[in-house]
Amino acid sequence: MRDDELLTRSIEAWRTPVPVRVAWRAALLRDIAAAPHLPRQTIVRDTGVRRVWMLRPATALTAAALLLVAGLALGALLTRAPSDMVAVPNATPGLTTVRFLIVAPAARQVSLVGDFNRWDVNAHPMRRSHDGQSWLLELPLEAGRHTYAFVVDGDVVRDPAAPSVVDDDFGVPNSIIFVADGRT
Amino acid sequence: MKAVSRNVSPVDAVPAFEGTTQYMSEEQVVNDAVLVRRVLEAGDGGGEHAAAFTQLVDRHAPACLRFATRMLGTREDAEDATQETLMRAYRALHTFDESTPFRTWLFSILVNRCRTAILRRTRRERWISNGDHFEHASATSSPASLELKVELGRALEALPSDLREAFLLKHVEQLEYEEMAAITGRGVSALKMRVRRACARLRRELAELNHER
Amino acid sequence: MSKRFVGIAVLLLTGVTTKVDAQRHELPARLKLATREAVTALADSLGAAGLPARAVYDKAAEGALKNASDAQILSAVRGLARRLRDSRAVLGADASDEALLAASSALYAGVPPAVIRRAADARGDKATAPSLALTLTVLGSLVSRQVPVELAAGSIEALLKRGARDFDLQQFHTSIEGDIQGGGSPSEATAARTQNILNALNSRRPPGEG
Repeated sequence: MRDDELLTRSIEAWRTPVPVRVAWRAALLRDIAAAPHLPRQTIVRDTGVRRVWMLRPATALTAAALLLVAGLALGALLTRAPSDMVAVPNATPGLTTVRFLIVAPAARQVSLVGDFNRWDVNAHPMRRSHDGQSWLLELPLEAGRHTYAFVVDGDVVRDPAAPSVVDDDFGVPNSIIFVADGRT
Repeated sequence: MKAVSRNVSPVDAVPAFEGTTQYMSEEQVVNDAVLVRRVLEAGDGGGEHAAAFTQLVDRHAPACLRFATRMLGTREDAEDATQETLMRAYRALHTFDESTPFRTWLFSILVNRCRTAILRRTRRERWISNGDHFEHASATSSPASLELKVELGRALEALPSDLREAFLLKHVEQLEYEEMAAITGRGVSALKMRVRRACARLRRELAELNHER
Repeated sequence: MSKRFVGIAVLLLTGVTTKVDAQRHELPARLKLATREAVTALADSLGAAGLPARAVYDKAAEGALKNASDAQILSAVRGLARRLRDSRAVLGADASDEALLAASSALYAGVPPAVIRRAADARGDKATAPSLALTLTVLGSLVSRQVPVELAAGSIEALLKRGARDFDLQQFHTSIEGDIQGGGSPSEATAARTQNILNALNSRRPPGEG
């Protein structure tokens, strides 16, 4: 058989479909159905126009995995706390409201800390989502660079869906977010 | 990092679901964008998003699985890479730009997953001796042809991964070079050179195998 | 005329002093008095030099939240103050506070001052160029992830030269982060993602442009 013909026949063989196993497909669809929503940070301007923030989680799967691990590792049975609205100051000109979200279904208490509230764990408690899986907070921030973290039942954790700040002086790196100034 | 939630049942011996890879028609290209929009516009909560995404899974999983199997050599690795790809695509669907074909976007994720898997794996026998990734494709294969298929697998394995990747995208998935460039992040000329080199090496490898039989 | 200016200067100084006093009181209560005094003194000297004193208070508060010892907090605060001064030396008097902070992070990661300068210069004067703070944040982050300095800096420069914007640089950053977290090689991930973004930037150009 000539070499070209051999290669052509081989390509035909390699093009043969690889069947999708029923069990594999079922497991994948189960995982997708069980996956919490992608932690997204939504810009809500004081004009009421919504758009998705440009800083997106690095890798969706890794983010989901780490968030699940963060949630599960904190023990405690899932409890459905009332979803009290956290009072957030009205957006003022020059500020952009950013939504922070972390999946921690087993947590009892979650706060947002950062350079915007002097790392005060009492300043910005987060509220549980309707489905009880996540914790949310909308916060008006000035345009620019901000570092932050979540405090989940007393433990400081970085946002697995965001890049980390390099200077890790205390063992737990902080996360970083750039808030648009309206140019972009 | 492997997925946290893995509810994988023991391997089934006989697949009850078969997917076939189809050439992407214009209609399918349009429909992919519609499906994506449907997923994104679905109601809050996992159920509706997931149901709408199922159609995209069924349409694209076979091609992903085929590419990953030929690229990585075992069904297990291929299923892992494909699952990771589809999960990532689901999570990042809101970042999908409709001006790009969905397949291009999905394959760019898949190619990276495969590259990561290759970097991560330890040296072990990847091309299993019973050749089960060929078994289902041809249930009536004779032992001799099964052996040939395993040797075909070895011929692919002998290619450096960058040549294999380009070759598979061009000749197995039958993509155009421009789409391959978008998927791989390499230039068209570089890809053409890789495909040429891959073909030359495969011809040599296959010729040797043929003479040995 | 001069008396009015003196009066204004006094008012301003009073304002600054009041602010610093208020900040002194904002230090976490659990810090020892000696630590609080040391942090405040550092903050005062940074403020006098036109550097972001607030960053030092933030660092101390962060350390207290994370149960760091007073010694660890002092060490971190002193390091930050030193890097802020170095950043000012590299970036000049016009650099914003957040650019200085980003530069200090890059220094922490081991990026040489000359490379920081190069990255800052590579932005040019384009209004659409990514912010200096973002540029330096990405540079420092890549180097901290074991991307060789020259590769990280060269990649960023190439993107800036091709007209990358904030979004492009962020996508570049988060993609590489994801690749590395997924087990990929930092260098390969950087090279591949640089090419991806360059391709995307090229495709944005109208036909006929080089």
